[in-house]
Amino acid sequence: MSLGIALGVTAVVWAICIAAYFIWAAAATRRDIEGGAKGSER
Amino acid sequence: MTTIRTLVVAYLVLQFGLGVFVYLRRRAKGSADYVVARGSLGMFVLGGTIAATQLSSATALGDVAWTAAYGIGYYFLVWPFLWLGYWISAKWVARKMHAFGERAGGITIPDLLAARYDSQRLVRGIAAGILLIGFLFDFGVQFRAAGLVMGDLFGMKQVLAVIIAAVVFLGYTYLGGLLSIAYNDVIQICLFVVAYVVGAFFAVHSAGGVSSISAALQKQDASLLNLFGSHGLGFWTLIGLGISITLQFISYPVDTMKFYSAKNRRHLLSGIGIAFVFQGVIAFAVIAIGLAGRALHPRWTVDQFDNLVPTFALTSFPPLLGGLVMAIVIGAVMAVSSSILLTLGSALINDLYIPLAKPHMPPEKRLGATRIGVLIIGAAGTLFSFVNLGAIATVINNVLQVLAASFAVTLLFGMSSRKPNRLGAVLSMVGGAAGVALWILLGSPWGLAPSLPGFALSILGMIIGIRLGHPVPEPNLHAFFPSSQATVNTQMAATEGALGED
Repeated sequence: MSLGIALGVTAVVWAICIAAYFIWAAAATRRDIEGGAKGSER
Repeated sequence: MTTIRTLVVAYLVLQFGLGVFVYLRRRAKGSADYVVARGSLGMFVLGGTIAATQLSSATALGDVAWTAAYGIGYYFLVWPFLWLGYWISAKWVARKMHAFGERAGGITIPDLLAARYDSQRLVRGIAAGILLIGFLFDFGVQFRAAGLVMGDLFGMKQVLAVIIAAVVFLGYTYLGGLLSIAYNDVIQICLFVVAYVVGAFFAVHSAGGVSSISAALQKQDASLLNLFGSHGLGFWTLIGLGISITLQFISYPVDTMKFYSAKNRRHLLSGIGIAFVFQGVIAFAVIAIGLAGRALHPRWTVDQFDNLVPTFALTSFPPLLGGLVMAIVIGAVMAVSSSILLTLGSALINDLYIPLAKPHMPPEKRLGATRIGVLIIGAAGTLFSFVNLGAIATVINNVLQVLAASFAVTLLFGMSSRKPNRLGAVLSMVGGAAGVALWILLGSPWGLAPSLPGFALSILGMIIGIRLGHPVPEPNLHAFFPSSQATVNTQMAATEGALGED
């Protein structure tokens, strides 16, 4: 494998990892807010 | 050389000045404000300080050396395991910790464990004791590293270099507490990104460009470009290393403490993600610098590669960039050491001295006491740095493994299940620390990272404790496992009473 390809694959895989985290974090924050709102209604 | 020295001095003055600025503009109102600056950190500052604390001199120098010696697979495979550790922490620990801080006033990790396990003295004392003993070693060697680099750069005695470094970061930590640390960390991490990314371009250029490096590495050892391990570090060794790193960062205490400081949960979770971005960019630059160095120095050993970054900075980079890189290396030590200093200072005073000796100390006196704790730890760490405790990377790695095996199970299980109890927490922490220490003393048989057997013993201790011990009272559990918002408010008030006021 050439260095260029190795660096390219690394960049893409790491970017996917970080993007997956942000997607999860957004969903978790939304759930927290909704959960908090339901809790207050009770 | 004059430009490099001037830049390093300017950076140290900037750090100290920022501490004075925070002290004058936003003086801490109490020990909670000083130790965690509750609700003050937005996602960018939080992400910056988390990344700066994780990226120590071990990354700035040691990881460059490992990439040069063992190839790209070391980082490609292992780095996502670091993020896995932070994600587990974000999912099961961070949000409950943040909520606990907001509602019950917790400021340390032992605070959280004491409330969760209904043990204000035993669990709190053991947790604080492990933090103090473990991090004092870490602190000593980090400081020693700063002294060595500064001593070489300025041609001064190591003792004098250590004292100058101590005055700077002890000063800004003493004056401004967490807020001062966080702002300094953000400057550090931004400069780290700039210095290492630009440095990577110069390093690759000095090695003849990407194609030349690729050809040189293929000729030396083609496995250096293999993403799944090289001849030096095989696939399964890297996986073992990765799991060990995940465990370390589920509960890395000096970063976990900062979860209390986030403005709200959106900033908390996004801040952790921003730390990933900083870490990813710097790690990518580390790979490029490491492999360029390997192409240029095919016969160097891993120990020699420890000097690769200073060698590039002093010989191949323009003076301005070289100075910035050297300042970053020293700043990396300061970023970690200042967070350790605050964590230990608050553990010494708020988890040991006040609960055991002065339980009725009025809140207005706790800030002054915590500052004295910071000074005591700073002085002890400075003295420790004059003792040769062994190779810097080895000591840091051993300490992180002890802390991982002591706190990962207690925190993770305690925040995700109602069953773990006081006996389980005690056996888990003591078993984890003892398991790692024993494995290190045995010479790490089969090349297995000590945190793995330590973690296994920690889980075993927790299971035995759950079987033999008494359940934790409901009021303590409700604080972490609410059935409704109303219950949370009621039960948090009960926990507040147990924690005392601050």
